[in-house]
Amino acid sequence: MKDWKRLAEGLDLGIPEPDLDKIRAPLEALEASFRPLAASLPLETEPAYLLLLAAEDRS
Amino acid sequence: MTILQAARRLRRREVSSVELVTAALASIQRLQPQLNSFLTVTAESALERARLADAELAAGADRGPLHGIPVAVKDVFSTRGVRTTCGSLLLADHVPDHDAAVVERLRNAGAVLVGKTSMHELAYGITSNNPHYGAVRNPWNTGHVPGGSSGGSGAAVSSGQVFIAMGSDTGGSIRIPAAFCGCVGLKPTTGRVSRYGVLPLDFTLDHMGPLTRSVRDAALCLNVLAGFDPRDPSSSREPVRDYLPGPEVSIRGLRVGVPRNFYFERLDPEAETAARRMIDLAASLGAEIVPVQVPDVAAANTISRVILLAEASAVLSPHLEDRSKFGADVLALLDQGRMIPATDYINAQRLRRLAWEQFATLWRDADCLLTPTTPMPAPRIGQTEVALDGASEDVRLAATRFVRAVNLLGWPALSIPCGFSSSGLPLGLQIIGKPFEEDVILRAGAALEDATDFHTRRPPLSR
Repeated sequence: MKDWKRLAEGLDLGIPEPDLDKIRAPLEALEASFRPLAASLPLETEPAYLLLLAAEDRS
Repeated sequence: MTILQAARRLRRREVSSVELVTAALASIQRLQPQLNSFLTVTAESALERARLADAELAAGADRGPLHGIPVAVKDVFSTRGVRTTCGSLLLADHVPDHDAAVVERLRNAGAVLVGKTSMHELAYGITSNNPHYGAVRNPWNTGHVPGGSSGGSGAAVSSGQVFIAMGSDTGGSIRIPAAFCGCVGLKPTTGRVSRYGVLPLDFTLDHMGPLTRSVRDAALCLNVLAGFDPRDPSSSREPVRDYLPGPEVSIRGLRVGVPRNFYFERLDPEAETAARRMIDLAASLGAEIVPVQVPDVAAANTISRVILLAEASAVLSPHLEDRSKFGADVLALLDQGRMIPATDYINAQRLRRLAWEQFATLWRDADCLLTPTTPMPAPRIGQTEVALDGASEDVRLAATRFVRAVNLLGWPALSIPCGFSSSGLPLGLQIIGKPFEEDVILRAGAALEDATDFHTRRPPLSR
């Protein structure tokens, strides 16, 4: 489990302690659902920053 | 009255644009204390434009079906010389020197802008309960939210204030208010409608589209809005089609995919019943109902949320030094986004490519998908949790559960009214299509709309 408080301090984000408490649970939940997905990524998969969905845009 | 009906009457001189705009302004003035659907009303310039529209029509200069029609745009669209706040204190006095591409296209089509609609702060939420400009209220029950972030647009169309109100949709922000307010909402394919001149929330996921009283009105609007724009890096050169369904539209033979998994799980029984009735209706109209197994939508939602949190925080973090300028919910999301490492953001974009490849296989068996738009009707203002299938769920996550993945995939999706809860709140049906096949989902929506009367019903306060 990540230490979100130390992470926020290390990044110098200036998030007050009470506000940090509010985001701990949603961050944990997101982390729990995202980590297995990221771990399953094939090495060669490229990012899709811009999806060109039409054939004309890809040419 | 729909746009097609108004357009016909305008050309027969049975009504003038000045009369339509005057009626819209009167309705806005009357309902604003109850709904708070507008942030800015441009009465003077609207009447001036309406007079011009009437003069042009009288001289035979016809700009098309939107000519002389009163419209509104969400306050996320830049409007030259008119304050554009994005529902934020950061932009409380922001007056752009240019129009968004959408505004340009509406103006060139002769539409008359009567004002800017209220919204969730920075388009970052689904309630439109704005801490700076006040809560927007649902016309069907003012104790409930209209949805968001385009909540003012949903309330304005549903209550009859305007024919069209433009919205933006990053994770359901057009379709959710359409469903909650009982109107039509169209999120086009990525690249179909220009984002130029729109204050960004998320570069990957933002889409622009109309909220309207009918499916054909949405199609008319897309006919005006669709097209390549070199000022938007995501804009597509895919040829534009005629999106307006004919008067005798048919869905006979259309392969309608109905998800076996995910979309009919953990939802209000009334929302399920209403959606399933529309599926039965589609079958009775000759559509081929195809049960489909959808890939991992929950995973797609997670990927989408990582991208949104990171990109929104990238856009807005320079302004976080003064935290008092943000509402608590938006601040919490911006703080979360700043905790996401770059590696997670990049991996989310890699996962997006995989998701797109996996989900595209659905189109081997179906031409469109039918799902509920949201798992429940509009929650009460201030409500943070909703009980679904015996479990409590965050209202924001529940409301976006069926709509968010579509933004990640870039597909077009339409929400149409499909019934009412026993408490009198509207329910929505989502029609999802293949990339750039807005014409197909609009055809499906029009056929279902023609066979029902949900879109003709108006909330009591609008009468």
